[in-house]
This record gives sequence, C-alpha cells and structure tokens, in this order.
Amino acid sequence: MNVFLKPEAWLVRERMNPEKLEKVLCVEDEEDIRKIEVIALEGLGGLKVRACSSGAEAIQEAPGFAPQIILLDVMMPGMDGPTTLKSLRTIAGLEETPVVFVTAKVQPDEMKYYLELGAVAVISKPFDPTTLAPQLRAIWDRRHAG
Amino acid sequence: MPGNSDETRVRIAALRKEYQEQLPGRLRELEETWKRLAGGGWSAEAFQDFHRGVHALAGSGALFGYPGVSTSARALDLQLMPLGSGPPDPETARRVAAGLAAIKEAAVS
Repeated sequence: MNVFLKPEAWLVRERMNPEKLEKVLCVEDEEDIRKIEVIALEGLGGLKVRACSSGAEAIQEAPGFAPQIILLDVMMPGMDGPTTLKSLRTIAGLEETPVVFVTAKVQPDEMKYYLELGAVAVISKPFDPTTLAPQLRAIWDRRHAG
Repeated sequence: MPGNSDETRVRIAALRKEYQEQLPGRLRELEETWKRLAGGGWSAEAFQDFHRGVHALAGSGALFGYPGVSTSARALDLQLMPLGSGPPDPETARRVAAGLAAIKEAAVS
C-alpha cells in the first residue's frame, strides 16, 4: 500500500461531479521518473498527460491544459512541490484542482504536512508504474463515494 | 482505453536500460561530490544538490529494477536530512561515505 488519502472535506465538496478522469498534469524534475510517469499514465492508463520538469513550468502550462488532477513531486530544485502547490492555488480555475504529492519523503510528520497543505493524497516513491493510473482513478473516483 | 501494452513494455525496458547505463556515473558523481564536501570544499548549495541526488535514487531505484538502491538511498536520505548547516565532522563524513558504499553495493547485486 503506497497511497495515502485525505479522508474528509474534499470528498464531500467534490462528490457531485460525475466527470471521468482524463487529464493529468505531472510535475517531476527527474527525467527518468517523469518518463515513467508518462508511460504509466498515457501508455498503460489511457490518460492525457502534460509533463513538466519544474514548478515554474507547471505554473505556465497548467492554465492552458486545465488538468483534472495534478501529480506533484515534493523535492525539486528551485521551486519545490509545496511552493508550487501554493502558486497553483492562486491561478484562476486551479483553486480546487486536486493535487497528489509523489514523494519518497513519507515520514508521518511529512505526510501530515502535505495533507495540511491541501494535497488530497500522497503516493510514495518508488511507485509501481502498473498501478499508478488505477491509483489516480481511485483517488478521483472517491469524489463519487458514499 | 489503455494504450498498446507491448509498446509500453518496450518503452519501459528501454528506460530501464538507460537507467542501468547511467547509474554507475551517477554514483561516481555522488561519491566525488561527497569527497569534496567532506574534504574542505563545503558549500551549502553543493550539499543540497548532493542530497537531492541521493533522494532521487531513493525514488527511482526500484522503479528501474534496483529495489536495493532505493532502500539504501532512502536510509542515506534520512541521515542527510539534519545535515547541511556546515562541513561534516569525521564521524558523519564516514557514515555518509558508508551509506554511499551501500548504495553502490546494492547497484551491483
């Protein structure tokens, strides 16, 4: 089990939206991991993916791409994941877009911090490429749970 | 809905091969950086890069067929977290070097 979910308010707020998950923005500075994410989500998961190598690029690309979920690395040079998340939240249309952190830093206090920042879930690295898309869909589908 | 799985497998295999080819160079670079940091060439920025490099191995190793690299790199990543404020003492320098050696060993086993 390498996915940690935020249990409460987000579900209630999003529950009414019956959209299918189709578009994911991936933000990851490590090229090899970024490529695997794209293969896992596009090749295996049939999702449309826009991949960015930095927080700054994500802030530039996100408004035009209008992702339904953002997969965000935590430890990046320059603008790290939490800073990128805060900046994304100031962009019109992205205030509520669910963000999932992907990180090897999954100590309990770190997990608490990510969820407090507003992430809806945390996927730990290394992740299994074959289950990444199903995990994201499961996170997305929780919108309709209950 | 999902894409062609054969093609996807080929792409993943190619990425794994690329990673395998690059791993020795990445480890060598980390070792050299740590030698510089511990040997009088301390720089906070270089330490951050070094820490990020170790952290990246923790996140990527198992993805590309090296679970031992992920485990060893994660252990070193945790050791590095409280460091960074200045040059390491000899004992810390030794422990970090041992951590790097463990990653290297995991990469060839």
